[in-house]
Amino acid sequence: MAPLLELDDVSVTFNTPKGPVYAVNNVNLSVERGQALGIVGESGSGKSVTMKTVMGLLPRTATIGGSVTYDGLDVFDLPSDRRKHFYGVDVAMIFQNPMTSLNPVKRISAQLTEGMKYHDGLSSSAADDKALELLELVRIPDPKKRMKQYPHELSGGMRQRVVIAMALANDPSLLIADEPTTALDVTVQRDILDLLDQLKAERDMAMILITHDLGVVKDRTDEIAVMYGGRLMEAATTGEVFADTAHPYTEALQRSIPDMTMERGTRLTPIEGSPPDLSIKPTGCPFAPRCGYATPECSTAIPDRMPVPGSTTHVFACHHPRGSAGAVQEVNA
Amino acid sequence: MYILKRLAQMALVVLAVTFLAFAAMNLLGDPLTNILGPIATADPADLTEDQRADLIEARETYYLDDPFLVRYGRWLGDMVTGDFGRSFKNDIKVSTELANRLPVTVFLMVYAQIIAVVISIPWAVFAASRAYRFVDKSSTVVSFGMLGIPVFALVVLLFWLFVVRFQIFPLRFDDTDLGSRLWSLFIPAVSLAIPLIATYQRLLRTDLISTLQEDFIAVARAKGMSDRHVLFRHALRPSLFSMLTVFGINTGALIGGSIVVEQYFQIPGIGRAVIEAIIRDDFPVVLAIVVIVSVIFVVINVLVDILYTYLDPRVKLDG
Ligand SMILES: Nc1ncnc2c1ncn2[C@@H]1O[C@H](COP(=O)(O)OP(=O)(O)O)[C@@H](O)[C@H]1O
Ligand SMILES: [Mg+2]
Repeated sequence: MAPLLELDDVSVTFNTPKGPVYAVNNVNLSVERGQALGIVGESGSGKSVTMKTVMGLLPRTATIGGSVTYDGLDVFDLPSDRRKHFYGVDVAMIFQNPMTSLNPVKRISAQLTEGMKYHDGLSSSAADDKALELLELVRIPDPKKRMKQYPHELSGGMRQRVVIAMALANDPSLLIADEPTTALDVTVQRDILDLLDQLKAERDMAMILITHDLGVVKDRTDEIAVMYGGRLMEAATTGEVFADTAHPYTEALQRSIPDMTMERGTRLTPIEGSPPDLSIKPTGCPFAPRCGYATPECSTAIPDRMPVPGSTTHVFACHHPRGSAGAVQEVNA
Repeated sequence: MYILKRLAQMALVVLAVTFLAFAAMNLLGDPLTNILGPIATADPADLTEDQRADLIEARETYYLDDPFLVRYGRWLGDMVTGDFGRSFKNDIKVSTELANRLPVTVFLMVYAQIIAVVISIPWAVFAASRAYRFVDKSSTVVSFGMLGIPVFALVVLLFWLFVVRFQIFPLRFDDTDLGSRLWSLFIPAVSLAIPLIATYQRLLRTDLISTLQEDFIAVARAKGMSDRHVLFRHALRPSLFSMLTVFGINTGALIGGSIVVEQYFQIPGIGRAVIEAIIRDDFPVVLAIVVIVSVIFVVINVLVDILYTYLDPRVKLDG
């Protein structure tokens, strides 16, 4: 069976007044039904743009290449009856900042129910009942009261719970969560992530969990894709990523995993240097300038994506891989 | 409490306006002459019985024997109770004159505002949803054009086109029923509305474009809500602030505009009344109109304040 969602060779270029920005380049991703995929990378790696491509949220300045298929259907060319039910019903998305994700002038109840009314044609009272159930499901204290409140009357954690409830309103088969906890207090972060995990399991829902923190996806996802500079650096099952890391960038991310008990704002070993300028088309590996293993070849040839020998799930794009891929390369040389 | 504070502020504005107007009548030249004209200074022997009675009544009505501030205070007290005195030039009660004239002008202003809002909102939404594209850019050109034409030129142009040339609309104000009122006031209202439409369109379009960048719009889109729903149900309300503010402030300009329009189309409203009163040097009428206009301005702006809280629950009137 085809994967639930599949991105094939997806590229996104923004045409800005200052010239093109190559935000996403030849990215391949897939999510199976009921499975969780983690997308990890520093800020500016193209994670959000990739997901906005799926959700049809890119501005007109974006040129999109490649294909996205959902359940075997071309997402960019959905039949109109299916299109109406694709966003919100098949796929739902949660955004990074709960403080800005809710309409400040609409009551929580209105925001929760509008999707149900629109997609499922629920009556107001049926939708209200379901909304209340959802609020209970996401474990908001005093859900009845929340229904009548406005977003500014709720804390950040509660708002993100509302956003999650909203995303679940039409029982999506795939939930995309774009850094759902980055803007929240550390104490609330774990609660929200656990909640997402639990909901995913209970509803047999597939999930894409985006984060800049490899530690977040470690115990929560089946597969992980590591992005950098708008490119896919490494993709594998979660076990492989940690047990047999191939890409130096993934390695660097592992060293910078913050501890959940740390204060917000502090970091362990941050990766030296800064992410690449995406308005310049790279001639080599985008990570080369910050990579400890880089050789001259790294800045003159873009590494192809290739499988780790012996694995059907593990791919990487690096001239000097670590782990078993590196060992095999040395033997061959 | 915020609303009380605003009301107090607004009351101060009205007070200041009335004071200035009253001061103008009393301190620029002889008040009695301002009110009555030449008979005030004529030799009492030359006056008729009626004129002498007028003289006494004017002195009493405007408390001319009292010191200035007392005079102002007592006159203000009368105004508050609805006693605007009497026009000595055409011998009618000022309150009657206002009662006849004011509804026509208020009708015209409301009519113009409704036309402006009904046209500008969909136009702005349409332009903002296609921001920086052809539709939007040409909208900008059109709206700047509309802003550039002075009201008097617009009045002449529309009058000539629709009343004289094509004879679609009647020449005169027709007050027989609501329908004829609306029909005969259509061109005058449109003349007043055109610059408003352009102003509202500009403001709302800009605010909408920035609202459409907000995360909650992406969230609504990701929920699969239709473009229409996203634009009208999510983006519109948080974008109405500047427009609403200007809506209130524009009341002043609108009254100015209706003076021109009423004059040109011979509409018996307050704008025309004020011109007539100025021409016949009828100070009491002018004074009353100035006061009424400032009260209208203040009332509308207080209403606008209250509307803010409806638009955005984060605005607290008592905060
Ligand atoms: N509308 C846009 N126009 C131009 N560049 C954009 C736009 N949206 C995103 N980008 C650029 O695309 C790159 C990837 O952004 P993003 O996907 O948000 O990164 P991430 O989510 O991984 O932090 C960034 O360099 C960003 O500046
Ligand atoms: Mg992002």
